[in-house]
Amino acid sequence: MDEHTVRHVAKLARLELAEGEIARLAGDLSKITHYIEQMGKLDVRHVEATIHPVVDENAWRPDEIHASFPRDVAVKNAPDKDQGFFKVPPVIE
Amino acid sequence: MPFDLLKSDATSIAQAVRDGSVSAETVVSETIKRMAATEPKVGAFLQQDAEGALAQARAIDAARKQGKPVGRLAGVPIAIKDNIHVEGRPTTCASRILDGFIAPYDATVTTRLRAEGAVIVGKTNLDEFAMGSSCENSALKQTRNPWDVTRVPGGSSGGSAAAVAARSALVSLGTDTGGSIRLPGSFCGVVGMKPSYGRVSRYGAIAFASSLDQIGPLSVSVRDSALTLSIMAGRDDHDATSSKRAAPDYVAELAKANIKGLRVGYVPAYFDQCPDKEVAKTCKLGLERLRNLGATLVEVNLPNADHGIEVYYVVASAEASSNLSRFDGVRYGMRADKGNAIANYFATRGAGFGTEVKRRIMLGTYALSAGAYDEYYGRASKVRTLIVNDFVRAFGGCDLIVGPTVPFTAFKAGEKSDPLSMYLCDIYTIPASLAGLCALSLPAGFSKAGLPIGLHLQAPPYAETTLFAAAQALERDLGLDRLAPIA
Repeated sequence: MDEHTVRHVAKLARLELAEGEIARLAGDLSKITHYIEQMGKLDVRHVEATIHPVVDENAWRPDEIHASFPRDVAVKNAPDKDQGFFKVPPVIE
Repeated sequence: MPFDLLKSDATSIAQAVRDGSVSAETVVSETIKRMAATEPKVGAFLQQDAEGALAQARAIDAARKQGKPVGRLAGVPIAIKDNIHVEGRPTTCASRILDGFIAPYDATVTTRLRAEGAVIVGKTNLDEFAMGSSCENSALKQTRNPWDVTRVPGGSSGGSAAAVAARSALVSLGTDTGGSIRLPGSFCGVVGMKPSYGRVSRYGAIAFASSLDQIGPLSVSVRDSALTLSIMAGRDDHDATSSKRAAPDYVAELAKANIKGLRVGYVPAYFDQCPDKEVAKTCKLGLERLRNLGATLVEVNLPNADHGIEVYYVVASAEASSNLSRFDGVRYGMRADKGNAIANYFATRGAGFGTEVKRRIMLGTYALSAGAYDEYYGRASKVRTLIVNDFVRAFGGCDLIVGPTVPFTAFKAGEKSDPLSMYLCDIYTIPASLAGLCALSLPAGFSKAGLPIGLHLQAPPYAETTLFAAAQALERDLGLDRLAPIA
């Protein structure tokens, strides 16, 4: 994985990386993906994907109203808040 | 007989507290003394709560005197991995990004254990966001192995394993995504148990990889593991992945257990090709003991399990990259303020996450990105099916699969600096996670250097009863002295 790809993926992940980190990650991730590519030799053309190991049927619950998490508790940990809302700086200037 | 913390397990303590032969306050104050003596060398805890624990212990003693029930874990000092919520206490995940965060509610496991009289003495160290195999990825503290403090306790639940090994808690909770309970259990000489996927509610545990994560106990004895799981297991409406299957009373099941005729599977290569011959030999002896106890040994084949590492580091990282997107400086934890919301995301995450967490987020985001998805996440999910099918086939001919938990014993702090060599530590534990099995690491012996060696027992989903039965039979047969020297 080259540094160009690392910069692109970091942008997708909303992750700020220092220059030194970019170079190191390019090296590390190249080694790791190279290792991972060993699974490429298996024939999976007719294999279904497993995305979770749940062995049970889907579980339904009755559609009933329950008290939800109190709003003041939910926002308590926010770095900035106002009147029960999370407060963030503008996205568009 | 005076109370001796170092000769007790949770089961014996709870019994003694219930019948009044020792007070919960005595147990907890002895534990706090033990913690003060061991922590400077071991460093298992990120937070300790002596005052809260003593208050809870006194309340248990008062309730008992009034003839009220005090619970199945009455007075038992427990430690909780610091990625599981205890209301009113910080949950750090050993990360800087959660700086200042206070848990607004109890995890379901916390609620259930407390309701049975367990006394929370503190919260334990981990690899940041449970990503690691040595506990060295903690951004907050270095934990050492009580058997040799120059060595790592294993990870990611390293603090939880070290706390029980040091007896500064009698039971602890860990989380296991690819081996994070079993590996430190093996390195620290304690029983480390990963329940089947769906057996225990994860409400209040910080998600790492949602198709793999499970909460489980680390303990002094197999019966303590069974007792703790009995309390934690069962449906919780707060976690849609928790199973509605009735949770057995594993302690009662243990009393009836008989392993005569049990079919124990083993993969010969896990012994023959194990790089550490002492580990292979000790685990082989464990297998032979099971046979002497009446089990039948069956050779099994898991041809695709060797690809577990590849699958795991794609799937777990992909799920982590998604789960960890919630740490953006908006709702909790630290915020690096750049005056613009989008710039804040980048700066907060760049400053808040440590090296390994960034590596996994990058790997996972890449595996899910356009152009790479099919060859990475798509393919890994299919190879995962092959691994699941290997187990289904193998369990057609046996009840249990036994082998080493880790290919080696605890290594020196700082010894593994290459990320890939660290990932390979989980080679024997990962397949069970991918297939949602239940599995347990049992201390099976020691190397010549005096380091613990763990035996890995794996059973089909929801066959915890089988797992505990075999583990306890072997534990009794081995009769090991498992108290760490702390040196």
